[in-house]
Amino acid sequence: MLPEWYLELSRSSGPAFVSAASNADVAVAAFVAFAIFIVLASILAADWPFDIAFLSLVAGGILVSWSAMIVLTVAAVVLALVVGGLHTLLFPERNARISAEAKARVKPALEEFARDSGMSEAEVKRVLADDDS
Amino acid sequence: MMEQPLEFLETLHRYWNVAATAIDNSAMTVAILVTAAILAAVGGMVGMRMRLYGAIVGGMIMNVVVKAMGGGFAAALAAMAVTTALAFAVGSTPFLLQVLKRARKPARDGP
Repeated sequence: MLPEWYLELSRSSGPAFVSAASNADVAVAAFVAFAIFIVLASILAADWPFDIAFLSLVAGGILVSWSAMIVLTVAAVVLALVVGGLHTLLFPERNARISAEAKARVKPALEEFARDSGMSEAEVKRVLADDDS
Repeated sequence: MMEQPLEFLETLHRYWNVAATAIDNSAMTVAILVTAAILAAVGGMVGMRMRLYGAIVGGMIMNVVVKAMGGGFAAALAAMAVTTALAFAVGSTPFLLQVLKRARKPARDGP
């Protein structure tokens, strides 16, 4: 049922933490779960699919070897960039609203941090203005 | 009943030692722990959930390093759990300020 090249890849990737499965099998399963839930998170604009996507990536990372972990992380980052880009293109208004909400949430903490780190009021305003542009 | 948590802690400690031996460089271990705490502190600016996520990402860095150094899956998991817990506990805005002040100090004291 599975293509021959994948079976060969699966055999050559070595056993995962759960030795019944190979590194490639676990990495593919984790990546598929991540892909499904990151797409769901962007469609529904909800937190829970994002949590599941993140946790599936963490669980996959724990179970596979370090090289498979790096491949899995790079693939997940690329997919997240693609999904994020598509989300911006398809739902620009919602994307702008989410960005504005995120900025409003983080701005007070950033301002406090900048002041505590010894920046003057003018520097704080300049840095946060640069961030807005 | 009390033996089980103690046994768990003993196992965790044993695997942490395996991970530390695999890394074989205390400066690198401390650097990863500080990185994890910084990630948790930055996440903490958004909220407790992001602080936990930052700490987990830091823990995953420790996990990949231990595996790459030949520490094995169990040791990498134990090191990740310890790193995540430490980063979540320590990673806060005051910690970030301390790191920033210490990073600036040599530049000010320098020639």
